[in-house]
Amino acid sequence: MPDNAWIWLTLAIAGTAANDIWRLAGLLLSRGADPESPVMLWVRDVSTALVAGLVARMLLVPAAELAAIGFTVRILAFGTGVAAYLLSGKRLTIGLACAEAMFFGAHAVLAAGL
Amino acid sequence: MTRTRAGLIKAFRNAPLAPAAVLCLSFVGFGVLCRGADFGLAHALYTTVFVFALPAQVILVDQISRHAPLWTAALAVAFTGVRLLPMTVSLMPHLRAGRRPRRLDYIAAHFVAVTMWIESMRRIPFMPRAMRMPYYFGLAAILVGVSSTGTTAGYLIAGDLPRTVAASLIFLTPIYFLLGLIGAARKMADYAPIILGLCGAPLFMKIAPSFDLILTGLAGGTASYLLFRRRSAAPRAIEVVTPIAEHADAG
Repeated sequence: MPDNAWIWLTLAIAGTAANDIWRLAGLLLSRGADPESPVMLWVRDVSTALVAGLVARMLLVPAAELAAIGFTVRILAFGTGVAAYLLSGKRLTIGLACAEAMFFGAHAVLAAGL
Repeated sequence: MTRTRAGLIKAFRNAPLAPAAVLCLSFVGFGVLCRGADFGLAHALYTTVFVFALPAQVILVDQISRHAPLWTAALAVAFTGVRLLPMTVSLMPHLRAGRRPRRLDYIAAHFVAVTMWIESMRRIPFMPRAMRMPYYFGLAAILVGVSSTGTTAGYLIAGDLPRTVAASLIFLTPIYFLLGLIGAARKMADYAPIILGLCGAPLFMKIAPSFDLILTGLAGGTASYLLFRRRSAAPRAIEVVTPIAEHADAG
């Protein structure tokens, strides 16, 4: 881990400032701007792709304890969650519950098989 | 004053239990993740209260534990934070309800986040004007409180949890993010950046490991914008071009 002062600086600048600048801009713009303008649509697409990229990385190069779980289990559980979410008419609790059920189920089966 | 109390009480009486529970569990996962990355509890809690946007918080932990330069961390966080702008733009007029801007609005804007936004938009537009701000801050207190409790609990129990359970809590974060992205998508143009981002990440992780998140976002988002949105965003340009082309053919 890098030293403490550097971490706090990063948290303040890259964390609070980099985030709240958008909330502040949104507050100022709420007095009449078009959130559907081309620039805003592009910016939203970039942020969506970035978060999706983060999701892919968290699955492919998992952190901490998740690294001990097999790739097959992670992908199976992930796919199950997405499918259950879409099939249930986008109900979050169902999607998450199915993903977690598959996570434990597949891990138990694969661990027993090995 | 009575209205203020009524708004606050209403927020706690009608607390959104299911979204709060999902949020809490996701932050338990975040706490476990922070512990695994050798992050301090104070750092973890600071991000939950003063960043209060889970994607940004995960990026911060990721970038700091990989010793990434400050500017890549800030840029990646800034790009994920963009989604807060349209939410704030659409929510603030309801909160303000026609009155003059106040300093309190700035504090209110800090708490705009996905769950906050969904729950506020469901109720606040239909409330008496004087109850709106108190209700909103009541809701913020509940959700920030639940998130901080989750973060702390996850951090403290991380060592004692069975490893599979700890792993399943960390796994909750990416799946919660992706379902959130899908939940906001309506048309092909909304799904495209999700798919391109998922597929682009492994590629950029190989090519440029230090800048993979920003490159994935820029490349995936721009490609998706050019392929799916430019046509719908500028329909007039096409309408103008077509008659000219026809004239040229006729001529």
